[in-house]
Amino acid sequence: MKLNNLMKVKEAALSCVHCGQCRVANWPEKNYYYVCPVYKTDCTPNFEPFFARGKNLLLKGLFWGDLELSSELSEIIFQCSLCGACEDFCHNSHNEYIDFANGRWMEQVISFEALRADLVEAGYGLDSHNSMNDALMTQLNPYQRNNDDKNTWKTDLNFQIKDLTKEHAEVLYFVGCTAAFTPQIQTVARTTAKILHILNIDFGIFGQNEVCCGSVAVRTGNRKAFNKVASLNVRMFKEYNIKTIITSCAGCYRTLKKDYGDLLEDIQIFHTAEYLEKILKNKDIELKNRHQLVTYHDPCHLGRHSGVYDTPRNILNKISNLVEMKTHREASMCCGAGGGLKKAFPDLSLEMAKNRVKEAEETQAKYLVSTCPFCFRNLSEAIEVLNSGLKMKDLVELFLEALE
Amino acid sequence: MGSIENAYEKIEDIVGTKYTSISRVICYSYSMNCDTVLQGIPDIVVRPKTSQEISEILRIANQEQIRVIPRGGGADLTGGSKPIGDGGIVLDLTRMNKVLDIDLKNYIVTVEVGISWSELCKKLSTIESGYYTGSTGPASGFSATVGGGLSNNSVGGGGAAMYGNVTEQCVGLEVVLPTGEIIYTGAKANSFCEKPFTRFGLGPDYSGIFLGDVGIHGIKTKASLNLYPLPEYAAYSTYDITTNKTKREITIATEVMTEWQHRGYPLHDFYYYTEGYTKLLTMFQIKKNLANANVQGSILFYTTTANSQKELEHNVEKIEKVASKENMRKLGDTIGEGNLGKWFYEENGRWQWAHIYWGLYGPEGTSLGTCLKCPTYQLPEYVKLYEKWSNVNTKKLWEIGGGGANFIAFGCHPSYIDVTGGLAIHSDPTNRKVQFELWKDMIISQIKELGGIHYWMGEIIGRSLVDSGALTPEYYNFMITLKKALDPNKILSPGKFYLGEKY
Repeated sequence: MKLNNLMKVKEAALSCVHCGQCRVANWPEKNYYYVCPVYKTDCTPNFEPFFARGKNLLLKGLFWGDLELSSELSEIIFQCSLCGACEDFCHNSHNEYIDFANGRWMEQVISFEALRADLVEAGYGLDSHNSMNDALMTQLNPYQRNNDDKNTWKTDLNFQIKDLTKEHAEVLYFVGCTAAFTPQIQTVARTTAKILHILNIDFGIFGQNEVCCGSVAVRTGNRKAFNKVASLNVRMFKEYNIKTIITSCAGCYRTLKKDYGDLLEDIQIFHTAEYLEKILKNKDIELKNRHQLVTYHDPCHLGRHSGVYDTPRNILNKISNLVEMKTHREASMCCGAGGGLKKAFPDLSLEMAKNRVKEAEETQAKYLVSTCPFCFRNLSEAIEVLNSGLKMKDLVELFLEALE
Repeated sequence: MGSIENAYEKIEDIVGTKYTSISRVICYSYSMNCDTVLQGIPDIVVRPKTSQEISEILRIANQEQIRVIPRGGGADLTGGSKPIGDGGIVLDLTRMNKVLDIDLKNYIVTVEVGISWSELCKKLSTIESGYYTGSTGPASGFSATVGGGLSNNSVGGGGAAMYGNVTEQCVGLEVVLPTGEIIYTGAKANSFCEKPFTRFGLGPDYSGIFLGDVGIHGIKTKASLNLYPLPEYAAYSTYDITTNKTKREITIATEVMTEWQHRGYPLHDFYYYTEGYTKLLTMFQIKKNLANANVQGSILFYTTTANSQKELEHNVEKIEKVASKENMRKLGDTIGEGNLGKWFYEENGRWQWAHIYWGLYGPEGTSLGTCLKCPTYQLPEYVKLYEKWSNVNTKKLWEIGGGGANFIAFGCHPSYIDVTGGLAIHSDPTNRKVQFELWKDMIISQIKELGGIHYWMGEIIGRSLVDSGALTPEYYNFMITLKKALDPNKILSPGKFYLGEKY
C-alpha cells in the first residue's frame, strides 16, 4: 500500500488526540453552534468517520498498517466538503483563532486531501470525480464542455474586453469555469467585467484559452490532473507576462494563491473583493448605500482556507446593512458545494445548503450574499427548494448597483 | 462468527441498515478513545434511536452471547467507551440527543443521554434569562455526552468547585438493564409520580449503581439533572505564586485552597497550575498573556458568582483576603494581563479547558490520563509522587520516543480537589506494551502510595485497581455478585472493571 501523499503530511495527519470536539461542539462565545456540517445533516449514517475525528483515526489505521486503501474507505472519505470547520475548531491545529491553541500540528484539510490523492492513485477514486477529472485533462475544464463556450458570458456586453493572448493588459481577470459556463452564474462574470470597465481598469481575459485552475482536481484527489492544468496555467501566465490576477471565484483564488504555492510568487493574486477594496482605498469612488438588509456567507475557500473575512464585510458595510448569521467568519457553516461533494453526493450537498439558507433566513435579510460561484449555485438551489424569500447575490452585483 | 451474522441481521431489522454497520472501516473508527494505547475493534456498530431499540438489541445480544459496549461522545481517557479486546457490538448513543423536558417548576432538565454537554448548555442558556446544570459536564464537554459524563463520575467543567461531580446533580435515570428491561430510578420509579425531582426516596439510591459504572450495570438512556439560573454576577482573579522553592509554592496554594473550602466561600471554580506546568505554557508562548505578565512561579486562579453586585464584592473581599499572602502576586484584571480566571469564565465557555493542553507533547503525541480526586491538603504529596515517579521512569519514556508526567489541580467539589494529569507520550503502536505498563505503574503508585480515588474507570483504571490489591476480597466479590445479578450472561461491557476474566 502506498501512502505517498499522506507521508508528506504525516505530522499533520497523525496528531489528532481524538477529543471529538469537531463533531457537535457549541461555543457561543466563538459563534460555534455546531462544527461538522455533514454531521448536522441526516444524509449520512453519521458514524465516526463522517466527521473529522473518525477520519483521523482511520489515517492512523492506515499508517499503522491496520487498514488498507479501499473503495469502501473512499466512499466515506469523499462524503466531506473539506470545509475546514473541524480544523478551525481544533485546539491542536495551527489556527490562531482558538485562544491558547497549544499545538500547531493538525491540518485536517491537507491531510484529507492527501488521503484522497492516495485513494485516487490506488484506483479508488469515485466514478463521478473520475469523469470530471478526465474532462479536465482533455478539455481543460471539469464541466465536459467545449472551452470555446467560455466566451458566451460576455456576448451581450456593450464594451470590448481585451484577449490577453493577443494584447497586453495590466490585470488578468481569471473568470473560472463555473462563472463562465453556468448560465445562472454568468452574471457574476458579466458584473465583474462591468465594474472593472466602469472603474477604468486595464484588464483582459484568456477567454476560450483560459484553463481551469485545477481546484476540483486537488479537492477530489487527482494530482495528475491538477499538475497538468497548473503547469499549463503557469506557462500561460509567464508567456503573456501576467503580473496581476483577479478572480471572483473563491475556489480559483484559494487554488492559485495556495495550491500553486511558489509557482506564482511573482504574480499578485486578488479576489475581486480584495481588489475592489484596494481601489476604494486609492480612488475617490462614490458608492450609494441602498440600506438593503443583507447577510454574508463566507465561502470556505475564501474564509477558513485563505483568511479573508474582513474585506467583503468592509465593502458590504459601505453599500448595505449587513447582519451576521449565527455562525459566521471562522465558524461559518459550509454550504456543501465544495470538496467534490456536489458532484458525487448532490443530496448531501443540497441538504447542507438548506441548513445554511435556514440560518440566513433567521437574520430576516433580503439578500444572501457570497463571493463564490460554487456557493452561489448551491445556495440558489437551496433557496428554490425551500421556497425561501431570500435572494441570492454575489458581492459584485450589489457593488455594481451601488456604483451605478 | 455465526452468531455475529445472526445478530447483525436481527439488529439491522430493528435499527435499520443505515445505522447498523459491520464495515471494517467503521468498526475500526470505534476501536479507540482518546489514548492510542488501548484498542478493541468491535464486530458491529449500531446507532440506535430509542430505548426500546436498545432493549431489543440487548435481548438479541443475550440470545447470541455477544457482548455490548455503550458509547457516548467517545472522549473517554482511560478506555471506557470501547471494547476490551476485539469484538462485540458498540452502541453509539449520539442519535439519542433530545432535550425532553425543561421543568421550571422543579428546576429539572430531562434529556436523552446522547446529547453533548455543550449542546445542552447552549440550549439551557437561551431559556428565559438562562439556566445551566451547575457542574457543567466533563472537561471534554464540547464532545462528551451526558451519558458519558454520568458513566464516569465526570468533573472538570465550570462550576465544579461549587456543584461537584456531574453525578451529584443527577436526580433520576431511565436505564435499559443488561437483560433488556427498562426501568426508571429516582422519583420516577413511582409510576404515579409525574416528574422527576429527587433521586433519594423509595428505598436505596439505585441511580447510584448506574453512575460511574462505565456502562457495566445498564445502559442509561435518559437522565434528569438539576437546573440552576445562570449567575448574574461573576468575578475572577489570577495569582502568580513565586518563591525560590517549588514545594513552598505548592504549600502556599494548598493553604489558600483549603482555607477557601473550609470557610465555605462561594468559589465557582479554582485552578492551580504547578510551576513546571506554567513554565511549559510560557516557554512555548501558549499562554502569551502569562508570558507577558512575567509570571515566574505557579498560577492559581478563581471565579466566584453572586446574585448582586454587593454580594459579589463581599465574596471577592473574603476570597482575596485569604489569598493575600506573601509570595502571591495578583495579576491584572484583563485577560491580556494574565487573568486566566476571566478567560476561563468569559471566553472559554466556562466548562471546557483540558484538551487544549494535550498537544503539549508535540506532533503525534497522545495523553494517558491519570486524573483522580484527593483531599485538598494532600496536594503537596502528589507533587512528591510525580517527582519520584518521573525520576524513576523518565528515562524509560524517552527510550520509547519521549514524554513526561505532569498535572494541574482544580476544585471539583466544595471540599476536595481533582489532581488532573497523566503522561504525555509519542503515539507509536509498537511501544504499546511498555506504554501500558508505565501508565499502569503511575496509576498504581497513586492508588497505593496516596490512596488515590480515580473516577473514570475504563480498562486501565479497573485493571490497576484490581492488580494493586486496593479492593478487598469482600468488596471485589460484592461487585461481582451485583454484576452477576444484573447481567447473568455477562454481555454488558465485560472487562471494564477487570472483575475476573468474564466480568
